[in-house]
Amino acid sequence: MAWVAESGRAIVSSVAAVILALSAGAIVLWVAGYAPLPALWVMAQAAFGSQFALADTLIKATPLALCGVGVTLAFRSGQFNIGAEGQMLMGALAAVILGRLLVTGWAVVFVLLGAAIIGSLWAWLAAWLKTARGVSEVISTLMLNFIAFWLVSWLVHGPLQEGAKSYPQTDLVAEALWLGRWLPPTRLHTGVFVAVGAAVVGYVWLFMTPIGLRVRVLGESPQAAWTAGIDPVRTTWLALAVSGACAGLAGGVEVLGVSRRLYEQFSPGYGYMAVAVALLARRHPLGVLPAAVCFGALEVGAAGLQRAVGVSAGLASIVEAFVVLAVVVVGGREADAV
Amino acid sequence: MSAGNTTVSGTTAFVVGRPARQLWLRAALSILWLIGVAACGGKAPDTPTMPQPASASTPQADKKPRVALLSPGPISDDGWNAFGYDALKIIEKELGCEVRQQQVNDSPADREQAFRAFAQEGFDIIIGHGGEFTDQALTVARDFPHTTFVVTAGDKAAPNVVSVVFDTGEASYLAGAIAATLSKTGRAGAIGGQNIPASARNLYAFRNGARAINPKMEVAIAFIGSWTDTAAARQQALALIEQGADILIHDCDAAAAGVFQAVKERNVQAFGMQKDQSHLAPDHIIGSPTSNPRGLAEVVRRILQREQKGEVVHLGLKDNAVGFTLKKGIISKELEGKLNALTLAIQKGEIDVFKEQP
Repeated sequence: MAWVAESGRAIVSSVAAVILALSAGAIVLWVAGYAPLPALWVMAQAAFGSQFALADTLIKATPLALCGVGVTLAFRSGQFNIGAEGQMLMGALAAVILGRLLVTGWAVVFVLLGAAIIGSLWAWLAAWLKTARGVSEVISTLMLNFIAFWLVSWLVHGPLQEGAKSYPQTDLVAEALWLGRWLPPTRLHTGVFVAVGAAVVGYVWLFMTPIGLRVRVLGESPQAAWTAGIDPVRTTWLALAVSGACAGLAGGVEVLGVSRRLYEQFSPGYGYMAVAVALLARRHPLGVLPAAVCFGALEVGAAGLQRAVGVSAGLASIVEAFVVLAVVVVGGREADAV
Repeated sequence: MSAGNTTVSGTTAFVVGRPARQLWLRAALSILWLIGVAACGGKAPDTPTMPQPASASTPQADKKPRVALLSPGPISDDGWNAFGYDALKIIEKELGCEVRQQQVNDSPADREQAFRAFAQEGFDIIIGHGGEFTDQALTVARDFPHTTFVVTAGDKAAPNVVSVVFDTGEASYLAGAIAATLSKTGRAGAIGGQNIPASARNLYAFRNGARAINPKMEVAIAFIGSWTDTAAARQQALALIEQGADILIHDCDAAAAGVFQAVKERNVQAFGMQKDQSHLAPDHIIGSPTSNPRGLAEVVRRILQREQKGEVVHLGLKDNAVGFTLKKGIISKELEGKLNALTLAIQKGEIDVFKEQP
């Protein structure tokens, strides 16, 4: 049962990363003049302490998990896709446009499908640049993020701005399309299941299908893939397309579940955080779920810390950054493997 | 197959460089640590203060009313957000409330989350500091009927949503009158943050005031699209100065630092906004339209005493909620007389400072 030992080691190292990061965060808090343990307790309370807190954590974890699955699948094929942010924004854009055109409830499926396809196409651009022109996907996906951001920025200031023309944001998507919320007055929406479903499907796709096998072989050893007759171009395209679809879906789910419209600061960097999520998950699609909850809790906990103790927003972000850094330090070998 | 080849060489490089890379990362971590220590060390008190426990978990015996403020930017901006925080401090000291403050990202989803989080904790009053909080306040207010939501510069109301509008434009109108009198070029410039109604109204009032004195006065109004981008504000200010403007006014919060920078570089004059900002460029700032934080505190007091119904409250010069601070000795007796007359006319409602709208 080698895989049990292996998963065990993976889990231990991920947990160690989180503990290291939290202690680093505690030191920052202590230096800034706050008692660290009560502060961490306040964070935990804010993230898990009540039904409301838990709902907030899961809301933040949903886009992180969807983007995280996407990034994980790209990592597995050897592609360092850091463009989840842009792919997610394009997905959200597609969802908002479709959500203004299709106004009946059953169209939810088409809106989400459209979001996934547009996110996928955005990732394809990077795949094309790589396979046709040899452009590193690290650079192209990063640059495509900026293009997506400024495209959205221009659209919400111009052609897609709300009818009232007051704020740089689009109108709301049709109410019939809004994802159901349970546990009101929390905002917990059915998109959580989409995220769980994507992780499971991603796992099955990667480990139980011939395509998944080809993706993994290409990622582990391009030479072996070459020898085995795996077409690297096709496989790269496929992996990035699926990766982009997940991120695009994240955008669609976020629009229909939470924001219901599009605006500049639509994503607080979910796509970038997803890279850390994928690393903390040790590039395992199912591991993405707890990793996403972990980062969602951190986001919600940091906001709670600010509410309860008055820790400035900047300090809260420092604590978050430490977690990301610690994940890379402890999971360094994993990061190298990508 | 370029894709495959790049990855092969990449992997090899990593195998060789692995121990060094990890070492590097660890070193980076410790350096960050030291920077953090150095950066925060100066400000840190000697003894760590105990954070107050989240009040949701410890119900208090004496029920102090609880008031929260959601700020759209840093409270250190010497302007709009500092003004909101001043009001919160007055609410704490003079109304005996327990207060909290949170800075919220410029995102409707985050604003809604912050409203919900405080409402969920049982806060009595939650202030969203800016018109952009209006929609989220109305949404969350439906789910929490026992909490009152206050939106500064909002334009809508509900049974438990009160909007408080500071008609700072009344003071900007006076600033416009001064600009038209003092300008040698007959041109002035106005720089806004995001093009939102409250800010636009304010700057158009400046233009209306300028044109009341000199109908030919040219006032260019530009928005930089941000409340914090000082570089963009400086560029915009320089551009307006290039076009001949010798007096600038702003309504762009923390980004205003860039406006004052440009004003100092080109030696022209400017107005502050929200608070007396003369200390930011003492030789160049003529005066500042101000909002009085007591106006906001007063609305909160009325809500706590159940004297305030859900409505849009307008506060201006006549309520002493909006004012104008002026540098001493910069204007003539004649202009002073004119300003006093204008102020009186505005207070009586004889002048509509918002006559011309965006």
